[in-house]
Amino acid sequence: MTTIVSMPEQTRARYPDEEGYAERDGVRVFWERYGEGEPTILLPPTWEIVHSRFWKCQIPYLARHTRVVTFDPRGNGRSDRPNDFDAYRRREFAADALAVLDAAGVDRAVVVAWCDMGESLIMAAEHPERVAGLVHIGPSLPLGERVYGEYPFDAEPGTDEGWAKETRGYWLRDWPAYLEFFFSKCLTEPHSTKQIEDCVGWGRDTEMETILAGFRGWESKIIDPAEVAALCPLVRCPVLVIHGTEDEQVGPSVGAALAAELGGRLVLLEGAGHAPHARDPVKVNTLVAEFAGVAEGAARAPATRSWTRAMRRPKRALYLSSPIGLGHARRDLAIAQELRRQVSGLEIDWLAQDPVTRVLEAEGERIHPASRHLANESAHIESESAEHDLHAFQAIRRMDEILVANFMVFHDVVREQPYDLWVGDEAWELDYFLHENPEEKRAAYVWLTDFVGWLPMPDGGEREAFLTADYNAEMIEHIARFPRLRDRALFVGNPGDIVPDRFGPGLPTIREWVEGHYDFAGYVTGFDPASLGDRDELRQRLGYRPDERVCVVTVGGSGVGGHLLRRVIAAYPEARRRVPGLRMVVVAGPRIDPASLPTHDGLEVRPYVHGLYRHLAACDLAVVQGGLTTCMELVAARRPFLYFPLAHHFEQSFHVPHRLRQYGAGRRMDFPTATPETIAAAIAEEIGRPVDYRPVETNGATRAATLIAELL
Amino acid sequence: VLDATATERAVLVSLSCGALWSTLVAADHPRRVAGLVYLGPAVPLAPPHPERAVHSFQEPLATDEGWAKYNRHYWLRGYPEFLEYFFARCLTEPHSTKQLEDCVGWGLETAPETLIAAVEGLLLCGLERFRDVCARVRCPVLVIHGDEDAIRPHAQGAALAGTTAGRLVTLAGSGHLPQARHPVKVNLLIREFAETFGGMPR
Repeated sequence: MTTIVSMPEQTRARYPDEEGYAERDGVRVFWERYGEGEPTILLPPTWEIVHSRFWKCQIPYLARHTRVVTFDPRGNGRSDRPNDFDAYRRREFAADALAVLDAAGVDRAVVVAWCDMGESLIMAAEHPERVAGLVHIGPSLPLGERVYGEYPFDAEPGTDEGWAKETRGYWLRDWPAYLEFFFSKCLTEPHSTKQIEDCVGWGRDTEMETILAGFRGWESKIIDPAEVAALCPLVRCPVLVIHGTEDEQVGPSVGAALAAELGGRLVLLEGAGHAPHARDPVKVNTLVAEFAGVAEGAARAPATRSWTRAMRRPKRALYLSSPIGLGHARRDLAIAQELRRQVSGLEIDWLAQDPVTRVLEAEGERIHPASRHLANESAHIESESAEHDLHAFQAIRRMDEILVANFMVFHDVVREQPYDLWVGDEAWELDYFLHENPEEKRAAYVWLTDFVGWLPMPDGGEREAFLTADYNAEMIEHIARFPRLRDRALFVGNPGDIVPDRFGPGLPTIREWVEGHYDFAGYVTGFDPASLGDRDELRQRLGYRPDERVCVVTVGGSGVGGHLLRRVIAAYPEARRRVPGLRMVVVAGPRIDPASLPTHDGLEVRPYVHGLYRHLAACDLAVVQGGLTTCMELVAARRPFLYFPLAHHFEQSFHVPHRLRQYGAGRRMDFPTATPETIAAAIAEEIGRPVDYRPVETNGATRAATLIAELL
Repeated sequence: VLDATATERAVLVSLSCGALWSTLVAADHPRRVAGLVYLGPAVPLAPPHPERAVHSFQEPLATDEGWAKYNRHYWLRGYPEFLEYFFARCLTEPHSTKQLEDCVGWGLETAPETLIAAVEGLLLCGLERFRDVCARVRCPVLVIHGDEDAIRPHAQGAALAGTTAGRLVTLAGSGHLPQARHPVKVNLLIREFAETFGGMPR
């Protein structure tokens, strides 16, 4: 039974600069070019079971340094799908690769092949003028060890277990289950669910009939041993072979034998499976870049550079602030300002992107120039959202390509510039890939978050419960194995704010684990409500009359909230009938065009408002999404508010309401069932209502900064 | 030495005055020199530190203070004191006692008379204009120079990189002997530079 559901292509970290088709014998092959520079790196396909997206973790990084060309194999992706066996011979793939180089105007390239079945070997051996270097990742060539399946393709083994699935009969019975089986054998490392889902999805981008047209068993799919023996001596270019020692598709002895035959270098990845470019992308990226000479190093260094001896350096921190929503920016700014007060001479650079950079720029903070290379996470999150609906867990999972790309930006930055400290506020890429590549740690590191634990939505069923538990388990294993990697883990809140759930079946309760692994800063508001002064004066300053009933409607920094804004605007006429003198201020935020929203008399729509918290503190009622920061600003300002958690957003559905209950704050609304009438009624009931919230601590930024400053 | 060690070709890494003859070797024997690395090069491509320019090496001086110790007559009187002074100026970074002791010890392994002869020999390098020698250098060049080098101004290293179309790495806060005081950084820079000659690894 298959469990994986096909999804539309997720946001890429980088889109091609040029694309086209190369045509041979009436078969069109789709190619893409990214970036500029020499040498060109060609990332060819393997067999037609997947297409060029399987290089998604390599393209953004390599293309930042040089020209990268990819293409879809005939039989999958956007390439044609001939239906005769001969069209899928390895020589056809080699000829396609050359045609793609011609079409892209590339004379010569470093070829990086995954699971080569002969096409890249043919290219390097027979077209040395086109191949400057050859990298083989998990080559699938008949060198000593058997690389063919356990059963002849046309066998009928009488079982569906294991490799019996790699038979014609099984394919015809349950092709999707074969794909899952096949890729689970490529990605044997624990916690590879996303990589397997990706591969299965690409496998489903073609049809079983197409695969069957080009497949009669591995013996005829892969070039034969005699051809390998004839080709190897012809290869003159530098060669690097990368092979996982636990590759269950092709044993590492094959990679070792190929390296020996070609006089190349061999890098064994201990414990890795058949697809290290997907499962250990940081390591593979750096190996490929080093081999191709596009990594940092003397040849690529600027003509003049400088290095400051350690004791002369000012103390310097690199701050990564999650761009998902505007919330992190304000609290991180407050912590950074406090940190500079506590550590004299401290310089802080921000590796940040829109919309965080808007807040930082307004405050005159120094944004690291490499920030421009960051792939945009906010745009991805928007692309994942539907009408007031954001499956936050899947959206973060489907951000994996962007996270790799952005970690590689960080990777390059901290090689050029030494820092005393890295701070990552929900900087998932930093925390995840540091634990996957702990040798990359070269500074004190502080991790901040306001929630711990991926939680499944009830309608996600068993699969989502399994996936969230798997992600939690990986995180717990990371921390257990490398307990000193995070020099500080700061929970933005208090122990009582932690949900009572477990991380998953057989895993610890979240609260117990977090209390053992985190320090608690208390809540960090990002502003001191007392600094706003007298509320009447504040209202006057902001242009709100004493007799007006002001309702502020805001959906934070992302573009996800347009539907809620429209729904609340639709409630305005009825709300105004119920609340005389009601004035509604709708803040569209930086990513929603105010002109796209309807207007009414007494209702104003504003674009991004700097210092929105002042308006929230001055209003009589706020209507917001279920995002933590805005809700907590309202709690701190002691204003009544309605909040609408985004559907399928586990943080807004579980973590935030749990915390708001600690403060006795907020009226939770349900977007799918809310009508303009029920919203208007709730506005009328809540507006101006006195509140008895538990006070929000105002020293969170100071406490957080003190805990961080100890490392400096 | 290259002949004796059967070394066909090498990257030459020179320190201070070594710049003069490593440049000559590269200019005269391009096949033997794959690349040049200079550490705090002492080259006449920019003015020396003014405080060093006022004293004669050959003539007797009325004072022994400061750079007046860089004088053949003083060397014959107070060679160890000269060594201590000179290397203290080389190693201006705090906490450099061991490096200083090392250098003084190595200085004491020769005699002032020998050193005087060597300094006079250095003057012979002036037979051809140094700038013309540089113009004959074709190999890749890396210059590493401390910006607090009290022996040879950073400007000399920068000018050498400019003249040879080489790369310049400035060591901020570093003095004249970075290979001793900042060995890790210097080792990595040399290795990185030398690796560019291997092309892609085999």
